[in-house]
Amino acid sequence: MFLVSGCREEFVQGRRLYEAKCAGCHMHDGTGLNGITPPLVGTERSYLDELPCIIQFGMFDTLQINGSTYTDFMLGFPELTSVEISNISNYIAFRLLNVKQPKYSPVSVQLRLDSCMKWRKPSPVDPKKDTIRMFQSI
Amino acid sequence: MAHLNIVSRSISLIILIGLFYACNYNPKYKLPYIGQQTQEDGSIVEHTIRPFQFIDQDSNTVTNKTFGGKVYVTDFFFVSCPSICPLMTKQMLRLYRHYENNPNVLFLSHTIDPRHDTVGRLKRYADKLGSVSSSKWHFVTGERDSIYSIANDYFIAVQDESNNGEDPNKLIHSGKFMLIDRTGHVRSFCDGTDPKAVDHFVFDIDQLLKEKENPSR
Repeated sequence: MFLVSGCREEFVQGRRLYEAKCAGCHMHDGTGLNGITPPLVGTERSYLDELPCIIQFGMFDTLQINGSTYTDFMLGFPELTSVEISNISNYIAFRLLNVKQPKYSPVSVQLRLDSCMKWRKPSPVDPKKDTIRMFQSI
Repeated sequence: MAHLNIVSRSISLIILIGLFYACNYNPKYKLPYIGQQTQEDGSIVEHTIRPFQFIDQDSNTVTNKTFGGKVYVTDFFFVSCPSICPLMTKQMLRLYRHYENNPNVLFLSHTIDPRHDTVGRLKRYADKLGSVSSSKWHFVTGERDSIYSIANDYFIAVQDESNNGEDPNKLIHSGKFMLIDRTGHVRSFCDGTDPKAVDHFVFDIDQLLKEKENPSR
């Protein structure tokens, strides 16, 4: 029984990737660090539509969340595949935010990534040279 | 009946003794002195933090005299840290809020990236955290070599292989919080990225605060 329940844990890869790539700044529970790294939970505006694009390509806008301003940028994770991004996104949506919505699938994530390739802002830093806020291989 | 009376009396006596010890500071459980002892003039001297001098986020000079007679918690971090620093800062902020109104506890965060972390940048970082008093929580910068050598005194592992600060992924530091007593001895430490370890660390700080200013050894 325990074995079965152990195997049935959902979002395993999503959790592992979240803890390796995201939790260092956004905290394990997604609460962020006030003024420095924005929270993922408790935000007024839903960002779930853009989430796959933010993970892959980064976030370079100044954000206003719950009365705090966030000016630091986040570099994306170009090394992640659409399968991995859908797993992270599902972990964030279902485990951290507790939303009830259709799951991200690798196909839907790939479609979103293809569409935001067109409108996204170019990165202000050179990802090859500047690894400042890349969270590689923690 | 008399037999029962004796039992209940002895039980209540044990409970009373237990309460007495629970409510009083017991020197038996005092925190250890961490580090190597040395001998000076025939007497044993515990490992002590050497004198230091840094600049904090308000451009004030911070020396070991700033922390004289105070208990302080210290860590090493840098602003553009890509891995564990936000986790540490969050826990440090929790400790800061816990001891906000206790004048005997101070906080000291060293940057290990003085090339980039200027006084202004540390000031912005501290301000972003929200109402952090610079007289209680000092974010300090200074000469690179003196920061890296004082880290040894605190038993914090730091390493700079960043090629003059170009690759911050290669600025490596331990995530430990160290607890320093009123006379500059290292007394306890914890993993600053683990909230449960920090919960336990609070007991150590409280224990140290109960010690007399000049403990007889």
